Amino acid sequence: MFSATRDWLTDTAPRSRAQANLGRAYALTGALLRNPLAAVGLLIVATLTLTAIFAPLIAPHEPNAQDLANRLMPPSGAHWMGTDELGRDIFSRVVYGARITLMIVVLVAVITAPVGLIVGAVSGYFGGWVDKVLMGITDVFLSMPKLILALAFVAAIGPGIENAVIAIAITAWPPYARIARAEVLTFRNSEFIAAVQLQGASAARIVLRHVLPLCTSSMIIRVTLDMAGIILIAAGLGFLGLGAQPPLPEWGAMISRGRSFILDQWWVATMPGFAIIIVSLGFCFLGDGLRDVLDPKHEGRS
Amino acid sequence: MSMPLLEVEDLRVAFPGRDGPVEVVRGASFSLGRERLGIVGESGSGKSLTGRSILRLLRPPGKVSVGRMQFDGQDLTTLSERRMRALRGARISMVMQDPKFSLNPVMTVGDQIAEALTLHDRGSTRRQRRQHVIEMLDKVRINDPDRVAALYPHEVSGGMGQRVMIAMMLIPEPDLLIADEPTSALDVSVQASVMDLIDTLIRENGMGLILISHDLGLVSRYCDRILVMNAGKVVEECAAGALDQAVHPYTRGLLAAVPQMNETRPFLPVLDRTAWEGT
Amino acid sequence: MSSDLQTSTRAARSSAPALRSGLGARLGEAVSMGVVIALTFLGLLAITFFIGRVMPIDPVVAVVGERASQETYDAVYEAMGLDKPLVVQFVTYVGSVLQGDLGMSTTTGQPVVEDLKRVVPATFELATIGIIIGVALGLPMGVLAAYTQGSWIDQVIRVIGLAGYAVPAFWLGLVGLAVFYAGLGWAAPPGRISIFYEGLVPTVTGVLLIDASLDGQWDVFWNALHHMVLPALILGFFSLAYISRMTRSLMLDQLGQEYLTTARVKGVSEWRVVWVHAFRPIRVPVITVIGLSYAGLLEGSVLIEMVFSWPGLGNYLTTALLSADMAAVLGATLVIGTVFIVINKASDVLYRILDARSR
Repeated sequence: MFSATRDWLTDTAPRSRAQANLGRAYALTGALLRNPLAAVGLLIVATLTLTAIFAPLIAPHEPNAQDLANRLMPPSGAHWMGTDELGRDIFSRVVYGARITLMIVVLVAVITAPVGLIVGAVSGYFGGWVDKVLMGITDVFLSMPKLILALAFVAAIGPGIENAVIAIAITAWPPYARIARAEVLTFRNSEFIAAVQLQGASAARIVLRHVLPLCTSSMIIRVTLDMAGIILIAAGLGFLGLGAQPPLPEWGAMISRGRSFILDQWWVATMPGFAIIIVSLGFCFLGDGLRDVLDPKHEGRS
Repeated sequence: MSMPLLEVEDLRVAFPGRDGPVEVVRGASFSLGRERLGIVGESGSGKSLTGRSILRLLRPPGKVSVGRMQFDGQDLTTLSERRMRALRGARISMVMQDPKFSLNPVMTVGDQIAEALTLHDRGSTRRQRRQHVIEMLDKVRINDPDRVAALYPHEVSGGMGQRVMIAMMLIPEPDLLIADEPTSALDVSVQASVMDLIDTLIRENGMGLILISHDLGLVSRYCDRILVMNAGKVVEECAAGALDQAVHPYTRGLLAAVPQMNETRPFLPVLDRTAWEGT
Repeated sequence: MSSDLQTSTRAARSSAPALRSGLGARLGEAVSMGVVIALTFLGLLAITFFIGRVMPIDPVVAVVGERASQETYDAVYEAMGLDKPLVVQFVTYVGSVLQGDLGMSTTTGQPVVEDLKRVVPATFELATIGIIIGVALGLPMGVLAAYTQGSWIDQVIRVIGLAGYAVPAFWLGLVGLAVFYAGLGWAAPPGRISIFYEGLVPTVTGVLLIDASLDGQWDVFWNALHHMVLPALILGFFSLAYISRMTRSLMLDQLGQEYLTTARVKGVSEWRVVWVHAFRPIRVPVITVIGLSYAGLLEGSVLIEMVFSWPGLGNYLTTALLSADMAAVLGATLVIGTVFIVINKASDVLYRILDARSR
């Protein structure tokens, strides 16, 4: 039965569009899993997602349950990653922290990718002064330090997780606009766009239905690769006390609280850091692997 | 024939494939004196790899194995990398296909030629070397060599680039020149002049030449002897004048596919590979 | 004879416009580059101005205090130009920034410009040592990884490069302190210099290592260096990661090139093939990468300086952030942003000047 499904998926002459799409997805997943780093990345991202969804089932303790009698305990069987200065179980907090990290990453991606896509597509499709103005603005944002800009924005609009997401999003869209514009320029003058224009399609329809879908694979690669940077900036904001506010178990904020104890109770600050590193690496590996699979031009390059 | 300049026996080149290594050159043997040897074959026949294997310049993952490979009495298979380097350029050199890719884009033409000289002639002064470079550019019939020496490769034409390449390869006065498709990237109008130039310089210096090409006409015009390679094997070896008496079906097929002056054939024949496949 | 003269003058005449147009093109390029830089800088000012407007803190209250009378409030409101249209306010803002007026810091009670003059050299010192480490190690690592593509050496260097994208700088700083200061006792405690040496050397450049050597105070020099090693190494690690990754990628494009075979045919040694023939064509992009990496270090120093109590720009910025000292925040943002723009644009210019092929 499996082999029948497999044959159906790998059929070189698919009979329906669904079969073709599923077959392509199957081939891509297979290629991704054959690349060891990409497979590890996929595993890490999947684990992050599952941890976030099933946090209450995985965490042995309440993330905010204080137990002052057991404060600053080193890692042990009862507390795998030890406890913090309020006696809270660090492992449980790291598990719940996955929810915050995943939420930030998803929100930033959902805000920035479409904005970047639309700005880039409009810029590339219309050209002329529209292009000049939009790309001028993009370039201004591109040539500025992301973290500093995000810091300044959060300082102005006030700390908090929503504001952190907004600030990161404001600084993260320009590269997507650049990519989308470059992609659009390569097909703007192609025959098939001319064909759609001849059919009388509106500019909006051409951009949305015919141009944007062609940018998706390079966008997916770039967004995945950028995730690590977004996680680091979010953690940095949390570390400075400008991101998620206590008692939320955000990893950067947890490191910040552990800072006072770093010389004696190293685990308080160290453990959430490992979570950040593993998740960021996961996105890097996955992004690299996706690039190898979706963009053969870059094969073998980092 | 006196002692041959180069002897190659049972040369094999393999690349790793999905199902184990794939042999691309499958036991080529030949020898050569101070003469002009042509190696012909279609793309993928292994002729270029043969040229590079002689210089031991095949990069991994390519793997070379050879029964015997001797150059002027020296065993090339056991030579240290350092001794091999001293041999490259100075005694054996190679002109490659396309000067657009084979010249370093960010070094001036003069510097690139001078480098070949510096490596093998450490005694000379900078002034002498420069003089030598200019003379060599003049020898490959470049007008205004002083100006050209200061140009970057993207500033010279294809034909001129190939002359520069020839100057660079011949300036240390090697004994053997391997020319790997030296004219196929050039404009038809300059092909003959570049080939004539190679031919003249080879004769003047009494060197050996291995001319690797897919062009039967070119090879029979400029060579004394011809090897025909197919699928990694030497299938035919004959004097250039005796090509029309070739016996191997592959060679006959190639010959038949060459258009003739004043002919009346409505179609040129296509190679019928069943005649020798599996040999 | 006369016709010869004619042709030569004609030749001279016809070559003159060619020369002029070459020069003109260069000049035009320089002018348009200047315009782009000016516009980008204006964009940066617009962003800081905008941030200054959206902040929920009332700038007038910040000056006059909570208990000021309505009259004082209104007077200051007008004096600060807040009653004027936004465009006018923006022009005034740009004008004062150009005159070097960035406002007063509410935390230090000094003009922001004075504060910046004091803290920038400390950051410059740290970032410069960091980039030296990053280039000295990252460049050879990138070249080696490309040369041994696919081998375990390549894999190790690639993972180190990726780690630079995945490890939070502040976390690495804390772990570094825990291990090398608290654990092994090799590194100095946080801070720029021991309290015993503070204020011993007169400030000339603000760069402590230079000031100490100018004054011949070598124990101060060594103490400062001892304090600098760990934070500089950590900054250097991030620069190394980025530089090695980019160099590897640039080098991989080169190593397959036919002209390297040409060099080998000539008898050039592998060392020279790699470092002269393959490296020379990527010199310009590598310099760009180093410039961008330096700009990145300024950014990274914000979090690193906080961890190491390093009295530089980053520490100044974070302190200002936490006390909502907006003039200081925007001043520091402006400085880092300006350095970013200058490095970004300078690398563009360098590309055009140095790249033989683009001419």
